[in-house]
Amino acid sequence: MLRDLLAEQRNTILGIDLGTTNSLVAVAVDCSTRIIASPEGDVSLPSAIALNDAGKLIVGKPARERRVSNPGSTITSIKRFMGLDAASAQEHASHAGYELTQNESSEGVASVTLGDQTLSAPEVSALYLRELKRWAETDLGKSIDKAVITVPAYFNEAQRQATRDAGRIAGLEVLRIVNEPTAAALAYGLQQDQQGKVAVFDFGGGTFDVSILELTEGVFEVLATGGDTHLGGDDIDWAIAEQLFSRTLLASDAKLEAQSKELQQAFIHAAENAKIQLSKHARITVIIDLPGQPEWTTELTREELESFAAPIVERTLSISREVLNASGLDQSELAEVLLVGGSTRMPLVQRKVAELFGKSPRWDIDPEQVVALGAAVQARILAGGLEHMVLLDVTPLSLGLETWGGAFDILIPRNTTVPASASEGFTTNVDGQTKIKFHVLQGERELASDNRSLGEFVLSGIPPMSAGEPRVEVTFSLDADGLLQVKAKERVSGQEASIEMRPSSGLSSEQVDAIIKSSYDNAAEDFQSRILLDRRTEAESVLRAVNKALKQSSDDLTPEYKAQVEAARDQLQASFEGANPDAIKQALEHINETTEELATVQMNAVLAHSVRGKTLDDVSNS
Amino acid sequence: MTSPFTADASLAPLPEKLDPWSLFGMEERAQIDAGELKRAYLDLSRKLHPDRFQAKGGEQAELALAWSTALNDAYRTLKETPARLEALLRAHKLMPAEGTQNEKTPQDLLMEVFELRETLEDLGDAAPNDAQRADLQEKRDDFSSRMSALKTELDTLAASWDEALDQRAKTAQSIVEAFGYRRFFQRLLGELDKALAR
Repeated sequence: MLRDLLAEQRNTILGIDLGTTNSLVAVAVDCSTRIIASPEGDVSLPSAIALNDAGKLIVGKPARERRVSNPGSTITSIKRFMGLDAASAQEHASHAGYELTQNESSEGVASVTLGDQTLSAPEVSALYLRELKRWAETDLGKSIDKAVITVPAYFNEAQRQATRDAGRIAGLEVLRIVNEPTAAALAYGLQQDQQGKVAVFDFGGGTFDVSILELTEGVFEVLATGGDTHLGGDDIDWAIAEQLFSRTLLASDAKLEAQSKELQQAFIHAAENAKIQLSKHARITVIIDLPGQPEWTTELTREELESFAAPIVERTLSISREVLNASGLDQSELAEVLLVGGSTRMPLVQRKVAELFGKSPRWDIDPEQVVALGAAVQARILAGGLEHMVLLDVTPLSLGLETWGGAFDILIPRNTTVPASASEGFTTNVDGQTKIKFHVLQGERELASDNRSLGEFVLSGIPPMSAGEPRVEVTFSLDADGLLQVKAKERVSGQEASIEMRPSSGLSSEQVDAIIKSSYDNAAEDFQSRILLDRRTEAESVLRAVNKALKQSSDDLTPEYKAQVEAARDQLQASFEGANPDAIKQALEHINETTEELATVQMNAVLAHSVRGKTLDDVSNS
Repeated sequence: MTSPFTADASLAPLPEKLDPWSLFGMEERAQIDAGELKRAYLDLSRKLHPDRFQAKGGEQAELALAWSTALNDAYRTLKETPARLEALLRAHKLMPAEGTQNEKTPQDLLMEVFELRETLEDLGDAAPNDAQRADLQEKRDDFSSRMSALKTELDTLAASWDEALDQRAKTAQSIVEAFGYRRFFQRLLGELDKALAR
């Protein structure tokens, strides 16, 4: 009952960092934030799923541990495939340990197959979100259905939409999509009451973002942002792995890419460990267990590792220079540089960032937790708190239309503060034409075909007129999440035209609905296991209490009564070890009845003791 | 000043035409105080951002989205001199229609760049050689500094516009004063005529 009361009192909104390598959940409590750990005490959830030996789907740490031994049935770094159709996803799939589900047409969403299940990228992400939701509900003792989820600042429309879909599938209403560097700035801003111009360098497992913000009395204004949604620690691991592989005698002309997935994963795993170790030590011995071979070792120094990683790090620096340029600021105007993301733990990255921005970067808030904490701050703002704080973010990619000859005509340039809108006039070419089609894209290239297609819009309901007469005004709006809305009005007749969008990729809302519906069938199963879990928890605590009471009051009980209680206790113990929730329920009811008298005995004993001068504490601790 | 809020502190619908100066509570002038504009923008952002209306939902949240969009647009318009001046001209119907005079290259520049255009066309997609590169870089530096000069000129013109505004205000003041005298003399002449008629 107390549970329901709490749920009513405050509708908690979660802040979730849905990361490439790790996902975290946080919540805002008054003026501070905290990360919510799993019931076992883990602060982050490895973004991995796998099939265990029994063929059952597992999530998180136990799944990640299988990636070297069973790469084909372990899914990691799914974030790289969010917002991509099956065909484009293949371009980024060569370094993955698993195969993407084959799909000839470019219409299917990027998916993976585990056992007899095929899961789209949003469905996989939903599994992480669902797990984090469970952690939060257990920790907070109430049910939660609202969240703020972060995305890389450089995520395009399709990638953002896929993230929203994942939230919906997981049973979370996604109130806001927040850019990761901005979220990190929020976390620092809340803590430190920051003022001035700040650069956030966010280098994670699979994505890179750099944003320049100006903080003024609670207003976080993004001046410019840039990044690469397929550049991260995973790429550094691969580069190191390639170099390690080339040192082996297996090499000659062979490339790591041509090897088996098991071999690739063995080297990647070693590369990742080497990277972490060499952040602390100057030289290590790398040991790799090769399948069917004696283990292979090599010496590796930090310098060598850094030379392998250098080209990838250089790319992040080059993007950073562009963004600094776009902001119109000189590096001397920056008050702080914040490091975010696991990959910024590398000494090489820290050095290079310091060099580029001309100041020592900060990472006093854990780089792997800061984004989730920032998302929780945003959640708080949405709930109505922190009234002096507001986020003014920008769209990272230019939005435009394809024009005659395949050129790209920009409507809303990148780094425009959102919400924003732009209008464009259209007319008809043919007498009586009632429909107009236009192609919306995002990107910076000259040719429409080099940019990212968001979809085709078909405008219908234009009143039939002579060619060139209608004045159709189409307004393209980007909301605070950076998502696109299109409205159209024919000015001559004053009629609102209806717009149908045919997205180039992504799950349609019907598809998402179907996924959610099918998960209800599974939910019946989940529900049962939930009940079992609850009953067992209760049984456990009752058993503990009864055993303790028996021990304490043993002298005060008649042998017959004691036997009765013990029998009820044994029944409960047996049901606890079983898997039948009803049996446990029965046993609980029975023991409650049986121990009424025991409770009275206990109570009297307590009173008696206190009369004799002992305290209640003394009694209960005996 | 255009206030987005109604008497009971909820959001009003967006007006058909929104004057950016009025939204920020500033006088419609060609020059503005950047600091004042920024402060007003941040203050309004805090009040109008859709995140602030998340809890209220529905119509208010939609209005917040519309107002924020308009606010960001108004800020962009007033922040940079060229955009601000264009808005001024449009407000006073002084901006020529599209496709007419202002869109064509000024005649005096056409000849100057004729050769340069030919060079660029001949180059096509190829990279310039050292000599060409030096030449193109020189031209770029030249035009770049002329662009900077233009920027200064626009600032000067903005100041002119405001001076003209101030002058007009002074003139209006003088006219009002003259009106005062005129009314006074009219009344006095009336009384004198009456006396002289008897």
